[in-house]
Amino acid sequence: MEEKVETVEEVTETVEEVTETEKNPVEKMKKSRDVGGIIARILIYTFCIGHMLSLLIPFAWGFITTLKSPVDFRYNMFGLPKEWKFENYLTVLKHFTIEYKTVKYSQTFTYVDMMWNSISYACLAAFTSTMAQYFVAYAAAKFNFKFSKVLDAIVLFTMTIPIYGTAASELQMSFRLGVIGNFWMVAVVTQMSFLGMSYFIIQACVRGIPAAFAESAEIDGASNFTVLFHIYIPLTMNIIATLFFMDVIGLWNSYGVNLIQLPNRPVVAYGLWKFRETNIAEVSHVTIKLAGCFIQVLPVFVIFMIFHEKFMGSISLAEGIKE
Amino acid sequence: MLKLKKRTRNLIFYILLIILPFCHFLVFWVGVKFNAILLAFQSFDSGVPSWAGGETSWVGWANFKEVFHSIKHLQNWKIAISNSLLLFFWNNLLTVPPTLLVAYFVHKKARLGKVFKIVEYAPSMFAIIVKVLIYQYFLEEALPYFIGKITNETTMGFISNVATRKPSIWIYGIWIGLGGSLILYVNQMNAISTSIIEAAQLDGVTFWQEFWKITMPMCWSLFALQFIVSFTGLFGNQFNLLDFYGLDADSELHTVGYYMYTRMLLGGEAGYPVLSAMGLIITAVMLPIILWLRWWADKVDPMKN
Repeated sequence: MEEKVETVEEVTETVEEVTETEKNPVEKMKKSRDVGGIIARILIYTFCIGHMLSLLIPFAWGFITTLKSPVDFRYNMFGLPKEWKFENYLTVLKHFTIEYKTVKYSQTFTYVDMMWNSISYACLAAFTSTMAQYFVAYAAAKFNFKFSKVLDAIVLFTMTIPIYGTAASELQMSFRLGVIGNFWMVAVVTQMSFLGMSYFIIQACVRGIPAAFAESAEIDGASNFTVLFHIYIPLTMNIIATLFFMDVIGLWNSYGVNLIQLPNRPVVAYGLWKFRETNIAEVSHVTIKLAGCFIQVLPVFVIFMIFHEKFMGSISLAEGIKE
Repeated sequence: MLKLKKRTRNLIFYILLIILPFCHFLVFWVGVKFNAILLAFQSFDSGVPSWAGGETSWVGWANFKEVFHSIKHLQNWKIAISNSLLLFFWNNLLTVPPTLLVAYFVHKKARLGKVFKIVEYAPSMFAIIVKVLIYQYFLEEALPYFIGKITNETTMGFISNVATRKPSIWIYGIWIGLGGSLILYVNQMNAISTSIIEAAQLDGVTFWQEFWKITMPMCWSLFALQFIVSFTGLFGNQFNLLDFYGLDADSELHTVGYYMYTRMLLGGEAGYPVLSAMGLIITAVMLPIILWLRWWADKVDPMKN
């Protein structure tokens, strides 16, 4: 009989333990001695801190270097500047120039000109590209025409079947169509592609909006244009903005456009690429070249700091872009 | 009647929405690919560009023969192919496992995880040329200065030194490439249902068991996709050479992507047919492998089995 009582007590204790563990399942894991996990955590921590420092140190060193004089840089490579040379940034804006020359024509672009070229090109091209993708994805998602399936298949096919070595053909076609050197052709016409992952992301978002919204508007006499511009675009503005800013950053950072299609409108990234081998006395020193880099990074850094939660939390293969 | 009218209205609106992007697709995708196939069988003899009235002639398989001849006899080609292959395996082997582990660590809400996430991801937002210049000057100026101070010996810059430039550029790819797909993996891991993880924790799952038996299978589709995308870019990727050396990198450093890109920019239209032939050969080699990889990745997907 006594034994039975003990057993009941034991059972009660066990039940209590189980209930406690169920309340906090992580507790059980903590209680169990997961030596492998502890070692892994230590190793990953060490690796993360090491890699993080290896990223931060060159960037911090680069930034401090931009505030030094050439002599200070030579004899005080790692210390803080003896005299803070903020004017290095002004020197970049004044003297950092690129010359575009053809047989009949020559034009000099300052850093400010290049910034304007970058802003106008990146914003216009990103806007065109985002809206082209949006319109096609919206049409395919909203209207049940057979051709919508063809559009889906085209996007999927171009994403999965790689065809190499077409850059030369693209360049030849660009010459034939008068794209080369034509800002509007490059920033608008060539950006109208609907291909790419964003197509499916936009489609998923459009499909996520209840059809009842559009139906009730249509009953009230709204046209297709009204439904698109007054219901769908405002409701998916979050996605449009995220895709637009990601595009802007990509285009702002790229200099390929000047190497191939638009040599007559150099952007800042191209300027920096050419700047590596500059002979202009005022700007040929490392301190000034790095200052040029940090001016280029600044707008991206500001956008990133404002939208980093959106950028980092929004992209997932599992869920597309989260609203 | 009313229904038909609405359908017609919808059709007109539908066409208006897709017409320009679809024409773009026909010209800049279908047209470009088709032109590339034609180019591979042509030759430009007159020295005048085709868009300025220069004449072209059909040369059959001559461009393909030239590519095979170059691959067989030119040392530069062998170097470029071997560099591309080595860089692909080196980058994947050394960046993917740490990225997965760090992503898992961040996903497990480790202390400082958010800081790691921001610091690792932020550089992927910056222009490659900016990152390359900072890295280059750090390796050319700061590091030799630092080593010189310690050893009291003059040290050459790591990028200009012939003996160290190749590993320095290769290490750059790994150093900066770690954060690139971190966010994708973290978000994929965060999408795993918490109830699955809690149930496993109740059963006493360890840190590694959770990683291998729950997290990795759930991330297989992304892992496979990343690998296939990376493999697809194997011969198109110039591996940062354009940023480090512009258009005149030493041939010892060449990759196939860099070689094709610079040849297109510097060689003029006369070189386009051979480049197109080369592209078609690479497509013929890579396409079956990529399709097989996709099929295999789908077949072994733990979530489908």
